[in-house]
Amino acid sequence: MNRYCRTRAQKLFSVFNTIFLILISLTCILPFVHLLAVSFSGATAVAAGEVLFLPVDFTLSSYIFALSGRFPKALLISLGRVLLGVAVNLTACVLTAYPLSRSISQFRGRNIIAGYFIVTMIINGGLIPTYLVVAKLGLLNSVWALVLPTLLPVNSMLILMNFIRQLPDELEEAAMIDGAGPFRILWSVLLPLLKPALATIALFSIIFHWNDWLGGMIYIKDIRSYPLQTYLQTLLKSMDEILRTAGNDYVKMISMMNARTGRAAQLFLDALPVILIYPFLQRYFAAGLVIGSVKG
Amino acid sequence: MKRKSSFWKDFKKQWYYYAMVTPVIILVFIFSYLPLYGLVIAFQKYNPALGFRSAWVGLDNFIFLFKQPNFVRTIWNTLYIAVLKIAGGILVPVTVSLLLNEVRNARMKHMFQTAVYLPYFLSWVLLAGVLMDILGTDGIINQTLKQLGLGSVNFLGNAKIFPWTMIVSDIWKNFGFGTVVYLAALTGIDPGLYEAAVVDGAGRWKQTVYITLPQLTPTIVLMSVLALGGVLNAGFDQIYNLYSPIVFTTGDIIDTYVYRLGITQAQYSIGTAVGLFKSAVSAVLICSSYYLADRFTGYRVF
Amino acid sequence: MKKRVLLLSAICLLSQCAVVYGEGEAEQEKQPWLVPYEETVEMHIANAESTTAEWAQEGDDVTNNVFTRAYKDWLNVDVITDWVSADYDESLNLAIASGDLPDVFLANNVQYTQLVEAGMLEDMTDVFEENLSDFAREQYDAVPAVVDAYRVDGRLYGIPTLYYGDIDKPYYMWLRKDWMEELGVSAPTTIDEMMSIIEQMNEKYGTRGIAEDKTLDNLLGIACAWHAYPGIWVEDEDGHLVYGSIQEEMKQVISTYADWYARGLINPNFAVQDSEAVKTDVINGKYGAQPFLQWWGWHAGTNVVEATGNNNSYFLPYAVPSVDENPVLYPLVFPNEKVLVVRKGYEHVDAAVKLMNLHLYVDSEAVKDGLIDVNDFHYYTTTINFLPFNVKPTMGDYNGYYQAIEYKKTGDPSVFTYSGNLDKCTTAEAFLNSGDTSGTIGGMLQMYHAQCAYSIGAGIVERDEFKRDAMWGAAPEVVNSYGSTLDDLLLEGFTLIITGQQPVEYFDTLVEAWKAAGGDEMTAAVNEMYRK
Repeated sequence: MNRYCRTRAQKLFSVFNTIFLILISLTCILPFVHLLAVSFSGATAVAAGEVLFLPVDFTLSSYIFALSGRFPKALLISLGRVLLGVAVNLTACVLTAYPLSRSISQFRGRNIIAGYFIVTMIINGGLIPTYLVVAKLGLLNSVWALVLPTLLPVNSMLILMNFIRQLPDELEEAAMIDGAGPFRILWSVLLPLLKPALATIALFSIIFHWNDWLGGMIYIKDIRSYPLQTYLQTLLKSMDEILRTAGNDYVKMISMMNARTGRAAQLFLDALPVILIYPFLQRYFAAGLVIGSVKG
Repeated sequence: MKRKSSFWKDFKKQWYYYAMVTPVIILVFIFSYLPLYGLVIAFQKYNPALGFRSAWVGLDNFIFLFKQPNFVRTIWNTLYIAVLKIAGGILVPVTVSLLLNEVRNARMKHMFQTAVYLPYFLSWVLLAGVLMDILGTDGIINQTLKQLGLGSVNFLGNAKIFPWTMIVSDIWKNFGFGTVVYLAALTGIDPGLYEAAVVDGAGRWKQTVYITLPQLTPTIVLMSVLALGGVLNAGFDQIYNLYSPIVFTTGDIIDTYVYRLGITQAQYSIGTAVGLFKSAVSAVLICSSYYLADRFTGYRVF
Repeated sequence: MKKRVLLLSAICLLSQCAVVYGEGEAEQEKQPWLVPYEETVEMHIANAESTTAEWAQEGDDVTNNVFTRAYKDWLNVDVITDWVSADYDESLNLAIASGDLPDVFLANNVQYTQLVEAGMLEDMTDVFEENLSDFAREQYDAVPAVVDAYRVDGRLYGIPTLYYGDIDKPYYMWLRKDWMEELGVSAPTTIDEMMSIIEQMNEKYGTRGIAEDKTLDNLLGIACAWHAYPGIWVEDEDGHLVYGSIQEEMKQVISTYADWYARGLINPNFAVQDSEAVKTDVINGKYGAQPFLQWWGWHAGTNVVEATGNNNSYFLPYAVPSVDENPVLYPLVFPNEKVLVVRKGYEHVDAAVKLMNLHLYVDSEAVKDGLIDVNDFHYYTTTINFLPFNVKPTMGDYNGYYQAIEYKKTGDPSVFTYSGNLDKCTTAEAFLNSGDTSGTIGGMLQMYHAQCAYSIGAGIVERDEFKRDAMWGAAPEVVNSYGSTLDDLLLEGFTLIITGQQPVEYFDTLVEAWKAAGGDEMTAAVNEMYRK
């Protein structure tokens, strides 16, 4: 990029750009800060609408409530599911995006197979039929029920395919001249270059698997094996009713919280891991192309 | 186009590609194609206890739906809201990613990147409470407008304005997602192209218009086409948490209507019928957009 | 002499024995069903998750607790929970679809109909007649119409688990206590008086009239003051069944509400606010009046008191005055939601009934008969609701109210059959006597306070001032197939009229639209099924 002659126009632009981006960032961050404050605030203050960006009547009740009980076990289950899910998604995407990125003369079945996958994006059988298939395979209550039905996110696959297509052909040609077969090309040459796309797909996959509470609700029959989001969702589903019907001791334990503070705490337990992972994946976004192998 | 070689000759050369896709094809068949049999539910009066032996009613479910004037109006509302969301949902992330790309300071760039995708995590259940607060007739935004002498706007209670409130808030929530994709694509653009442009004397603006945008076009087209596939979705979570009877005329979408239809019992038949209808429309849209993309940008998405 | 004494003592002794023996036998007679099975009966059930129960022992949960142990110890029935779900209805639907039913479980009204149609349930008619305990018999004999609603061709395929009682159903107008006192007004006797109080509150305290949200539930709840019955089916002069929401009386109600809205007597933003948002406003002192059910104290109650810092600032319930000299009748929909059913092919149908007996027994006599230690009793009462065999005591809350009155007189905690009610009273006392706001004032406002909701409600129940839904049972399929869309159509129209965007005459257009959109179909189906 042009680092040298920065005209006055460019400097002006830079300033406005920065201000604009700061404003946008603020609108994105402020609701988050507000909800963080709510999660640490007392129920009455929240119900009275007094909480803005700082906690009022600071309390840890909401977090204590969410973190107790089955939380640790559910957390482990979710972590396992995310790891498995991301691995499955990435593998499936790579194994399909690479062949489909070939032209039709290089890969004759390309169009049909591409169409085969795209159709699944448009049409699906619905909740009960998918459930029945999973049940008949005996996968209920196992982590595979959460990972296999969504094994190929077609959107991600198409993004990856698109990305591969845009890589210069010379790279592959150079590798083929060096005597590499397609598996080798895929593994050694392309994969390193695909890091930005793979990081993107991995991010989407992590977010999906981490946040998916519906899958757990349908396919996992026993609460003791619930993944985290399903478990948290059930905890807070009828919070008000719980507060009404619970015995005195229970009410006292969670007296400082209500449905809103509970959900806010749930949100943070939800979002925190992904927020932490994102910067880590970000460095792959900056990878860019390696030109050296072509120029030589 | 004449195919000079036979299928088997090609296969011998290309078997490895087939080998790569086969496992995925099989698994996708099991989990995505087999359940398609369940579409028959759309033509039955489905009773879970009877399963697929439930009574066959042919097109009755569809007729039932389309006879309801309030259902038909939801189709129009859905398209209106969804198309505008898609348009904005492309425009804003592309613009923001371009602007972000211009930021020199790597640390600031990093911070902005992290900030913009935060709203994506907020669930609509939580956001609805915040939005109702901010957008209410006594909320911050209206108070500011009043002080500026502009009068108040009923963002959530005026049927004409409501769809726009939905569109803008949805774009705000999701633009970080698209920005991530476009940024990744931007980093993949060959710097050599820019260097050549500088040599030719092009300034930043020209570089953006003649290099960056064309290079991004395939990604943009891809994202648009993918979004169009889901056009009949229009955002159930958001609308359900923010709408009210007073804005049903413009704010009631297909999914919220079907949800209310099914409130007293799980309406599997109706739900499947609607799903089928939506899939048919999506299929038509995707094919058309594929064709249009090919014609106008010469770019074959798939 | 000695002989006589001997004889006398012998007779005394004998009679004592007879008494003792008789008592023992009487006890056995009282609970003839309480005999353990010779061979352990295995029963698979499914259940919904419960998060608020108090478990007696470490490691207890909804699958393993004082009740499951009682089932085993008292009756030799081994209850195994196959699955526990957070969304029980959905999970059961899936289980039904995959043909994977537990032995005994709870079904809702729709699932019950579907299962009966598919022939997947055991006939329980005879078992129901023969195996109920006396106490259970009492509960069911009090509500024959509810049981009959579940008979199909005269046979009974499930046992309704009943409901908490009509005393919970009426809506009251809750008015803020300290403001009423400052204004020097007392309970309104006419609707005009009621609105005048609200007008005064608007003037003096800057309130906005009646607190209401976009569902219009609260205002519709007091429509019965005008003898309008939205949401239920009523008989017209010719004996036809018609829908209450579209009758002439309703037009008058909506027109009155429109007038109130124009005068600033109803929340100006009600059309876009949900109940959370309105609750926030109530807590912030924007309202002094809210039509609500008896559980208002748990809704905004404690928060209002805490937020204002003034222990007198809670709301008290008032019966809404009638528009004329006829008493207000409160609408009742068919109240039973769940049925206990047994899947076809399971042999021990009677075991299911016995477990229901057990639940009722625990709730009533078990402590007195010594089967439960009085110190452990509250573990039973906090978990009793979470097992499928629970039969809700229809008169439970009503009895609880009179027990609370008793308690206030005597201070004797043992008058309560349900210890939760004792908790409500002790918390109420702490609040009234020492201003302790750490607990909730819900119980106080529901049943302890001299002017509590139940004080009004009990009278309503005793005078049976209810209007029962003519559709007293499961809804015909046509009605269910429209979901809530027809009611929403009316809600949309009512909102437009009340906010002044449409004139009152629009009501007639609305009714025609409702009829055309499916209302006529529904009316025909309801008449076919329920018209006598």
